Amino acid sequence: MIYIQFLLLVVNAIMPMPNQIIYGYYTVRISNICQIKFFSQQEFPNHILQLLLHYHQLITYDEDCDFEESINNINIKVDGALKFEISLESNEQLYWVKTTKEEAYELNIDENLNVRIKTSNHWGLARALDTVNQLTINNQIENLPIYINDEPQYIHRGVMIDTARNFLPVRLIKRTIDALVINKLNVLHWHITDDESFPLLLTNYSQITNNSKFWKDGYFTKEDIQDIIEYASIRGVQIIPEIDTPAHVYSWGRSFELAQIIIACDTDIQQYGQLDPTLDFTYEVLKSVMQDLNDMFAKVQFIHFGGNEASISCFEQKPSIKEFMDQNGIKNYFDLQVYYRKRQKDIWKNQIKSQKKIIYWYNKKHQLPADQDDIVQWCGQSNELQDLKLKTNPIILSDYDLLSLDIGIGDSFGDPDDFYQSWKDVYSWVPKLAEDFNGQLLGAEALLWGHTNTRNTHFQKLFLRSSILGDILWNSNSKTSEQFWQFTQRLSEMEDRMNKYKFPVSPFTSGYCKSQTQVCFPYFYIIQQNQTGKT
Amino acid sequence: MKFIIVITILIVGTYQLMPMPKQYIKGSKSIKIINQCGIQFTNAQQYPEHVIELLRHYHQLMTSKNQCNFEMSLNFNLKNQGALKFHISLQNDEQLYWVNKTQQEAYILKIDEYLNIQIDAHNHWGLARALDTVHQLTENDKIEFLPLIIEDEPAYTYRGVMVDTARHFLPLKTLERTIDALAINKMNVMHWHITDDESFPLLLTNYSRITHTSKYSENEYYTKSDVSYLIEYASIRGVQIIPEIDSPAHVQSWGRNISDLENIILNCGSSVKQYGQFDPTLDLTYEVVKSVLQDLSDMFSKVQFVHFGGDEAIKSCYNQRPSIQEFMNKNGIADYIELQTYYRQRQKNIWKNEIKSKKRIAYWYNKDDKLPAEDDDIIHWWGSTEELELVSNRTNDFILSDYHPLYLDIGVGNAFGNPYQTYQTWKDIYKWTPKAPEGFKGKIIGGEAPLWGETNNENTHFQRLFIRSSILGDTLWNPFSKQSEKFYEFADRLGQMEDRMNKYGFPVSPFTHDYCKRHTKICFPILYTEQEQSVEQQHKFKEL
Repeated sequence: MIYIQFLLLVVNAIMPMPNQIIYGYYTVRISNICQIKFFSQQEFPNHILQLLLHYHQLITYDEDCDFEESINNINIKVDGALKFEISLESNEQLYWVKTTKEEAYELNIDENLNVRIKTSNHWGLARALDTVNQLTINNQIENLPIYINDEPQYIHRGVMIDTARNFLPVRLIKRTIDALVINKLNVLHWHITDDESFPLLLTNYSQITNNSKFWKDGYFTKEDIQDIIEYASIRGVQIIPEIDTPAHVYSWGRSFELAQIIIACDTDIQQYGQLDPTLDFTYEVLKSVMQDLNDMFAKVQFIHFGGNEASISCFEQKPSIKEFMDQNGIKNYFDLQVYYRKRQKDIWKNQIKSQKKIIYWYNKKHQLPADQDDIVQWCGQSNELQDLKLKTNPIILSDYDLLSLDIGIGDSFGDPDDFYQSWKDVYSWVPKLAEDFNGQLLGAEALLWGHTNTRNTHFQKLFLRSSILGDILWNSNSKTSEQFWQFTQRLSEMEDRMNKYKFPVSPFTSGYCKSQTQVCFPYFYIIQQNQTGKT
Repeated sequence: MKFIIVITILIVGTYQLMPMPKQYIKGSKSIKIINQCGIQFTNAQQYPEHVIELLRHYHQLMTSKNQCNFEMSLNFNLKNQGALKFHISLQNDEQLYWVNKTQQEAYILKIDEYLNIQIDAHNHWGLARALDTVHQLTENDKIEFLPLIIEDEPAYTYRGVMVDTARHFLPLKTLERTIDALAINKMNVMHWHITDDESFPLLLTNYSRITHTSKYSENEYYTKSDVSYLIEYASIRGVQIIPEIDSPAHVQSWGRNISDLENIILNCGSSVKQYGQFDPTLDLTYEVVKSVLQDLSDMFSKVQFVHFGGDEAIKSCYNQRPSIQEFMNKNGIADYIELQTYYRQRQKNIWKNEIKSKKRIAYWYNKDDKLPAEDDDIIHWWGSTEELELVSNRTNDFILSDYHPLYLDIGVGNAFGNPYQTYQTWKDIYKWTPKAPEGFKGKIIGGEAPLWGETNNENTHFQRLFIRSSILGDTLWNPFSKQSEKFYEFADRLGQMEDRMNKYGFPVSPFTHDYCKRHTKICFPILYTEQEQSVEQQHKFKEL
């Protein structure tokens, strides 16, 4: 009987779960869905109007409602309509937030459908509006009056997408941002370039873009970038651009002029390239590319410099590199990479004079020295986190295996790769740090490398698994205080929500189990591990 | 030297069709199709409706970039320059819902420098295959290597996929689109696993409550007219539908929350009781089975054969009910194998003697299935091809659905999010070819890639089916082409099939990234060691 009661409580189906909910027992129908009113003591600046418009469209999804009515004629109050009263501490448009408090909000909904939101800025407002949207499924709100006090546990909650292996159009990137927002995720890490292509239009070296793009319009312009950053900011999502060097740069050298700065690595298939870190010309090109990066992405908080997987045998291919090392007292290829990284950073900080912090990939094998203010993105296994224990840098977790969304279905050559990570694998993940860990854990990202991903498979691979990551990073306690079937019930409703908004996500179970979560998911996952499937 | 030869092949070129035709003779002229809307079909007045509909379908595909009027194409106009002019000759005008000889899908296609296209085929199924070839040849608004003669015929008559509408409902539109996708891969079977434990989305007449209590939402079921529509849609495109109603296991949906039917179902399953099996000892069971099979026979009157499933009945489930053991003792049924044989015999008796259906029956089999099959039963083999040795004395027709690599759903976790086998990549399927063991007495009629629906819905449907099924289609139409081409040539054909399917809005999974797709020679120089030798084999095609 208790279970059935829980099931009826819509407030318990929110994903991610808010920190604190106090609720009553009234159900009120929203009979006038189009009569939503948005009211505030202050005037709404444009970015907030855009955010309200976005959620107005989501809330009134099936109807054809006029947004102008909702913000202009706010004094005409109609029964059975949502009446928002929004109070923000700051009206400023933000492109990122640095503390979890900035995404915290207080939400009150009474029996007359007065919706009061108190929050710090438009990022907190975006989270509050999302909660309201989840509560108003089927044109009614249950369990009124409701009081919700909410704040995320981690500040960095994101996914990584890759536009180098297969191009992803601007429209798809915007839709990805929309999908993140209804999961209260707030980071889109954008791995823009790689060996395969460089789909960002450069100013001085546009031949890099043009010689490596896959088709005529398959690249991003400065305007596209601004459009995407603005679109993300309005919805409370930050963009983190990545230009990976000194490895993963084969695409840079496909012109006569630039071929010399790239060492084409002599592997089975010659498709990998590394920058020659001994040439001044390399740094000239690098400086220009990074200047473009700084100009185009002026409004982002961090830049990701990649910095992973440089191969020693590739450096060995070019004898002049060894000579350079001998002349300059560079002992080994590790030091050579340190040398590259220092020069790259000198360009960034002292020549381009960028204040933006830098993120680097780290795993067990790749641990070049990081400066105090660098951010470490860990893509090793969780149990190897011990190796990072002494670092004091802020850390983003992207555990290999559990948070890899692309693995398990074969690599670019159709050969077997690692095992697919199911939604339950992601569910079983919790940010586990080594004891006496010195750094600050910012949060985590699920990675969708693009080797076998196009727009056809994009949302299917990202979701629902990223929804689960979002749930954990917002409130990692919720899954320990609920039964497994209650979690799957929330997941099931998230699947419905994402389908309603036309995100083609992968189903997590059969249609029968999805509607009978109590029958199919009675136990916590560990007990079920032994159960094998049946065709 | 090797390098030069590769370049020569590229410039001279071979057709990059998928699947590859059995043989062709080609010229050296390339002719542009200037008048894309000017497609003409001669003698169109004489074509029956189903042929007109097939022409309409391919007309739409071939003119998808322009808005061309199909009716205009039916009026032959000699003055039409730079346009495709079809001259079609069929031995048989009859509408067919299946074919069972490869000759029935054979065709001869001749195209001259004036874009006269002569198609000779046995019937509209062969015509569909010929039109598909023309469609692939013309997709860049030109035809290369004219004049050409293609003589084509599939190696296997049964080339299909299986879809499952019980674990997730698939809208009629998705099934229609699946048929369209099969046709442009020259595949000709959609095996439709309609019902299972989870739901029974086919509207029954006497027992409609089975449908209504198990359906996922208000309108998520198929009516008789949906079924007729789909069979017709498939027939026009040269695709046969094989309906499956699985029993005696996989039937929980028949009795869930239905008071008068609950008794015919035994609920089983280890921790989650979501599986159901018939109690084969009750007369009511056979009463219900008879009514359902009567509906099946009525609704699917135009299909060639039906699939009775028959897999995975669990002994421990029968153990639950002591009355079953009593019944067995009374009737001299020694064990549960015999009990299943008893069920199968009564089921078949209903089908053949009471319903009087002439349709043959297919059953799932693997090496563990010991149930008897009669001579005209079709064995749907989901074991490995090597294990066929174990049944080499059976004289039945065989459909191969090797668990590895043809199951398209495995490797991404099961319905509970638990690990479930290893994903089969496109290369795994590429490596597979039907091979009968020595002394095998049965007949392999073809193969089928099953897509079970536990974790598949319309969002993931085409991504899971393709591009992998395209490779199966390639193998079953012409298993020799992949032996006589280099691996990168195959990858080129695959890349073009991917583009083609994207062009028609099928959201297929990419087989590699866009760099390798455009640089197949760099990325796919060799497949694996065996390939080295076969690369040296001579191309059997000659220059005109």
